Amino acid sequence: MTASSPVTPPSAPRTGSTKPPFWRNIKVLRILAQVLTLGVVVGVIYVLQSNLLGNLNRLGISTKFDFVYSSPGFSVRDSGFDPQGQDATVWRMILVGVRNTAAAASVGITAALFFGTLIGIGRLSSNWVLRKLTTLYVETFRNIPPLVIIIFVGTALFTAGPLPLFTPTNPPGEIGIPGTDDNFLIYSNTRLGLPSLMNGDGAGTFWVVMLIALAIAAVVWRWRTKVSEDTGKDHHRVLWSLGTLFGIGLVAFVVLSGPVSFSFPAVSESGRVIEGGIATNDGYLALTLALALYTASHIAEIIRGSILAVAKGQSEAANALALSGFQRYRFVILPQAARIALPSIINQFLNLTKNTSLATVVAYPEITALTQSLIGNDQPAPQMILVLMLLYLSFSLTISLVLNIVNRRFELEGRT
Amino acid sequence: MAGGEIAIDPKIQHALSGAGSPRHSDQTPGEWVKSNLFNNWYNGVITLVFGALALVLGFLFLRFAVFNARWEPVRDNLELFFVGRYPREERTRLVVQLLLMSGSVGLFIGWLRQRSHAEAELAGVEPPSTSARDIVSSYWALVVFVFVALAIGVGVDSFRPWLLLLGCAISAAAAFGITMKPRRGAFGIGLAALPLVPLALAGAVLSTVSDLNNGAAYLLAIVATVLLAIVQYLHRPAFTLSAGALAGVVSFQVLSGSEQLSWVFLTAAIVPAAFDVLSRVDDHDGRSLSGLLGSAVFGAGVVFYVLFTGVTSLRLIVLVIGLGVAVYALVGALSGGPGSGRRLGVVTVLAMATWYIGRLIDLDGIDWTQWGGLHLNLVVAAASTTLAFPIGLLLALGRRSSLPVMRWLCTSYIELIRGVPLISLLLMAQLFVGFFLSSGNNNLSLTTKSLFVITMFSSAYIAEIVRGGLQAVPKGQTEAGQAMGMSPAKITRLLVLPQALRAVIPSMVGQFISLFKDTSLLTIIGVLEFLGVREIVHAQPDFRGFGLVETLVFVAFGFWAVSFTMSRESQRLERSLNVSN
Repeated sequence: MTASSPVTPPSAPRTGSTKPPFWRNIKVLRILAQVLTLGVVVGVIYVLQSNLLGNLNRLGISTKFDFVYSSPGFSVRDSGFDPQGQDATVWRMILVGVRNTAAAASVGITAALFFGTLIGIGRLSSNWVLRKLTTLYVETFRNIPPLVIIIFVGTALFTAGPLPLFTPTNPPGEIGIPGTDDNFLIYSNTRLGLPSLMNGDGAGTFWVVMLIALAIAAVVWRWRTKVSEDTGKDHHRVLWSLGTLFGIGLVAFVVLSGPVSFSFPAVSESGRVIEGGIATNDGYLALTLALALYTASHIAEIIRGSILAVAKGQSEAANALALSGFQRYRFVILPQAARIALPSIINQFLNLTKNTSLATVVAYPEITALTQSLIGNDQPAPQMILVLMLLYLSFSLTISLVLNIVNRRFELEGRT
Repeated sequence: MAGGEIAIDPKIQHALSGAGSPRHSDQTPGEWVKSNLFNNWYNGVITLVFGALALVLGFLFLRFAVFNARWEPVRDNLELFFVGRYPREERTRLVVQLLLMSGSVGLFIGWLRQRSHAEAELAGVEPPSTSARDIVSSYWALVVFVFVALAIGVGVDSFRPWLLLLGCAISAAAAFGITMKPRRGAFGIGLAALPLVPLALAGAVLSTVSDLNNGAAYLLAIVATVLLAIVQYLHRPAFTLSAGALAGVVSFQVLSGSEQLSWVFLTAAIVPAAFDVLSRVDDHDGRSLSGLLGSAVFGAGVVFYVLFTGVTSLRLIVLVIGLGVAVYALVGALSGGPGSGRRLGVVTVLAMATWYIGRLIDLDGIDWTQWGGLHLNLVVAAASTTLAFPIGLLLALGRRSSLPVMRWLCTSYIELIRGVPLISLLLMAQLFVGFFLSSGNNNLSLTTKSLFVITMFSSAYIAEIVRGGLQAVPKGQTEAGQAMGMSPAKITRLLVLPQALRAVIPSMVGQFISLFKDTSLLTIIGVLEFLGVREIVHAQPDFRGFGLVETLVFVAFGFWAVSFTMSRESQRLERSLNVSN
């Protein structure tokens, strides 16, 4: 503002001379700063990218993405990957890796959540022995790098484990289903075999029917909840929903004359491969177990903290209502603790998923290990790593998206 | 872990820090057993089952560790595990570094204690007391690890490690001592000079067992420590910062690192003290003149740098930006504003001086391609945390900025980095980071490249931690600043950041622990760190396929001891920092 401003009446419109010059105008400055920043960032990225492309061209490394249709030059045992097949491409190999990562992450997450919750509750137990043991567990596993734990579990299983080996001379252990020749489980120190479902004729129709049945079951669940809320009767919603689901499933199964059947695992003639069912790859057991152990220690701390963060009056109120210890946890404390814990636990799930990338030390063929092998087999490194990063980003985004939706539902229910 | 960890929810953190089992001292042992072990039938079952399990596991582990385990692979390679392939005749550097490091740890803890005492005094409450029990519960793991390592290594190098340990302990204690109350007077000087004792001791011991080569580096370390002591005696925070940074630079870069960039670190270390001197020189008239002079010196320095080192496209950008800054400072000085030109000039002069001095006294370092073992893990974790902190701070501020472009850029960088595992970045470092440089020659060492990507990785996590701290600062603080007519930059710098940064110290320690654990991934790309030493050991003809579990247990124990100690210390820190609220 200039010196003449006292003369101007306050209500009068400001003249051009009272406006600040454009280089002191905050609006102009803001836009300028953003344009400059964007320019610098784009410039730096451009320079780096042109350097990279120039160097790659100079060294004669392909910068195209057509390598995904070439042959990877190696195969992975027990992956369904056929190196002689028509579609034995790098792309197929990447998909195998994605499937293996997902297999390790999903089972690892489930196991870690289960053990972590138990251990977290155990740390708050009134039992001294249990409390000290769970504390020992948490403090041990939390402070050792997951890579070391994976190598440790891998070494222990490979060398000194109680599980049988998987060689022609040392056949793996089998647990049969009584009365039949089929195996329910094949176990060894490296691989597991489990039954799976086989799709026959009309399987597509069957699964569509099952999806519809699931929706109907959800409706039934809501209906029973509403009935219970309106009349105060027991809802038995689990029984009702499961009954609906299985009822429809049974009818569909009979009408479509057995669209799906079980496939049971069996050791092959050569004694080296598992045929039928689902067979895990080498290292799967070690990786999943190690990651579950490691992440469980973190989840246990989160659960413990969340339980402690639930107001003490809640627990006392439950006591006053004469709820048993189990009821107190199941109906009063855990639902509230879960709401507090969920964001941190989502983080742990993401960490576990990213930690599956350490599987290369136990030779489990997930996406990072396969990427390393592919790069070792003369596939171009920059593109492979870019694909790898994009895949992990999409894993992370998917998990956080799904769980954030869950989290939002939880939060809304919690508000009064 | 390939993920790094974000600090857990503050609500949970708070609940955890307040947790503790109640102790009833008036119980008889019988009552205690009844109420803690057998208070109902299922607790009785749990006690019996888990007690038996614990006994069996404990017995098995003890039998393994004491009787069955063959510790020869560890014993014969103890040096390899700790310092990798560091040249034998240059070990003096490591000793000095270790002593300085333990001294700075002592100083840091003492400084924090001083702070919390001052705050307790302000708030009118009892200052937190640290009992011997606290100390023991924090440090027992590290002590046990060191003792086990020494016990395994008995007969290898019998007496020197003990003296070194003694030196470290004295150094840490002495540095802690100089932060204590009676700082003035002869007693204060005596306290301040104490850190010299372990240095002299180590010097004496080492000079008897090996040639004390590289005397210049040793001398510098002593000078840095003396500076630190004097500065603490003078009691000026900026000076202490400078001297501490100087000691750190000397220990990290000059003593052991490659020397090419040591002058940059030296300059950065001296800058706080120089600025402190500047702000105390009270010249009202000479201000604009010195501002003019300073900006001129800065501009000349930039031109000189670009011309001297050879013109490339990148340096031309530096030249343009540098000249722009110089002109800006010049305009500021002409309008009689704050002496930013003067500060820039001081930085330029300091940079040139230290560069010249660095050339004069030959400070050849051991290139860090030769570093290894646990030492490398600690250095990489510390260096990348230090380097990532300013970047993370800027990213956090950018993410909360009101300018949408900054916000998008910072958010996308943070989420991008946090969405991918560290190992993918490390593979990138191993395979093609060199290609991003214009020359394209891949002559950066693998350690440098991995330090670069770990810093990139860590900065995203630190940004999230700092953002948490920024969010925890009450909004009233900003509003109070606005009511005082402060500019947004000043509000951030003087009001918000100091409070936010103090709140994130414990989480930063947590991030350091997580990063320390992450450094084990370096073994996958073939850097010889603590875990990677195993592969070398088991490639030796004597130990091929032998003692695999033993070496792994040793490595796991090492990682565990360091992480556990730091996490305990950070919990203690959190309690003592929370004293005033």
